[in-house]
Amino acid sequence: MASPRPSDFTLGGDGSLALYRRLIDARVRADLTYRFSFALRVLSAMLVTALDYVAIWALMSKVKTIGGWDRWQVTYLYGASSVAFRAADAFIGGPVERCSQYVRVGTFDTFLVRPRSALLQVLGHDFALRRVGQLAAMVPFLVIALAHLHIIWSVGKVLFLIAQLLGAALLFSAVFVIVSCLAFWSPESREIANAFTYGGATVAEYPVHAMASWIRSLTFTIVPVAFTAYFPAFVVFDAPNPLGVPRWVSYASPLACVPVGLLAAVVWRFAVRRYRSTGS
Amino acid sequence: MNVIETVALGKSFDIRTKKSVVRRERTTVNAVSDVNLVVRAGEMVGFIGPNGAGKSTTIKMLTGILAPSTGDARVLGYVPLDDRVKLAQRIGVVFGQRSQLWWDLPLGDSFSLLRHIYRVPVARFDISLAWLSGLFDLAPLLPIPVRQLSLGQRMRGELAAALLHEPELLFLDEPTIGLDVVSKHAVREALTVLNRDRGTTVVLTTHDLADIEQLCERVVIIDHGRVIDDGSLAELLDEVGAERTLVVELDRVHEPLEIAGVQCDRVEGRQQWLRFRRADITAAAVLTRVTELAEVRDFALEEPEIEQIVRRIYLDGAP
Repeated sequence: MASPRPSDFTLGGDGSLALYRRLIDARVRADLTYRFSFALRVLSAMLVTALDYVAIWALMSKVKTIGGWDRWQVTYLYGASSVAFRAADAFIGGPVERCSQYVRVGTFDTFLVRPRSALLQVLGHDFALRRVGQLAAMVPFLVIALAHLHIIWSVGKVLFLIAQLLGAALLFSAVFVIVSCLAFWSPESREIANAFTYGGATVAEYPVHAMASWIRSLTFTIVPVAFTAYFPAFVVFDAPNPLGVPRWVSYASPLACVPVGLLAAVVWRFAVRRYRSTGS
Repeated sequence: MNVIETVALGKSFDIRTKKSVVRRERTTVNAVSDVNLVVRAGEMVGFIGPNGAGKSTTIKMLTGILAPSTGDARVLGYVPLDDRVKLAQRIGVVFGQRSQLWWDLPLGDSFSLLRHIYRVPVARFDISLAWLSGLFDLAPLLPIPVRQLSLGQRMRGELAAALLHEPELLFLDEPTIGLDVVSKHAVREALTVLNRDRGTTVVLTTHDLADIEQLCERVVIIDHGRVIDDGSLAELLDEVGAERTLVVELDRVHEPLEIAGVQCDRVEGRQQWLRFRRADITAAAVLTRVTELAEVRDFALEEPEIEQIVRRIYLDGAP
């Protein structure tokens, strides 16, 4: 055991951040005890994730444009939404998805008898390094697409791009938290949850204006993935929206994570309260 | 000082059963009802009762996991549900069926993670760990990954993990379940020392009457969600006239032995089953009589099953 320093409990106010870091560190060390199988899992996870793109590449070889967008614009949308989604999946989604299992086997009870936030313990308990590998596999798509797009760069645009990725990651995270809470009602709810998370992420990879109008309305409302990469893309491309959606919506898109995030916080609290009144 | 006080504590669950695709029927099941309990500092109390009797639900309400449906609970002065975090800092909880250790990491790593979770200062932690290592004989286990520990070793680790932050009150849900005789003994020894030297109050549930016999001066019997008896084990066993059985293996085949106050139930080759009431005669006295009549090669004492005692209490209509 490493001898800890006295300053251990000062980081992050009440020490939550420091504890989070330690829990993640413990999980990574545990993963690394099976080195070979771990390396294999990271590699296959990266490969499977990147294979998604093959479908888009094949499609673009046939049709040349989707909704007037060329190969690199579509690749950009894929890259931007996937980087955000994989970041959300790595740090929030993957761990909170495990709630259904925690409820079923009673691990959640052991979290509740410790003097720390249950959510913090959930996030730290099952952090998977291989998901960071999937995130890393997505970055090249975004970078390569940006290089092909002839974008006129400015400081503002760079900042917007960062804000957009951050906002999108938070929005996806909030969706993960909301649907993972279904586990507190029915431990078998994983499939429904997946439809919203992974399903939503797939929809986010394609230009919304090329979709049927009912799917389009879904991406603005119940599964608000249009705000993750699609609306912001018009700022990045400096192009008008074919649906006539004003530019300010694109600029404000990174803020869409705020209401969804608040909703996630309310749903989480409600779910934990319900768990504590009904048990598993 | 009272560590636990409950007044008319109860918990009911709504269970929905599908009658058809659209129609659902709601039934309310009382898992725990009207539990009035006072546990004083330094006591060791055992909850016994059949499966599904409400022992675990009661513990979940006392530790702040579950909200009571009716009544009130105070634990260390806190309302468990509302003050979950403050209470958690001062109690230890071990669920025998689930682990709170990090499976793939050395046991010592789990302890240092728990140090951070409970915010134990380094100096206190070092003292606490040294004491617990001695108590549970953990020093050789600290570098070993938890998954490689035997069940008995892991349970010693679980107990130490629940005690690192020096809680005043320890809840144990089936702490000896599945353990071999040696491990059970080690766990009971350690809990006795903990209670004696640190004054830790212990509340445990068990299916093993020997746990109660060796640890708890007080036993609370729960069945169908109600406390049906609360007192010392000896009183309880006298009350229901519980019978123990001494199984003896003699040097050769004998006629059923005749001893006053003892009933020979069964003879099987050299083995005999001798049943007697605790109130009538001690096990030692029975054994002495047997050695007077025949040569004893081996013997074992069988205690009544908890289920049997609970059934007896019902039949006798005890309070």
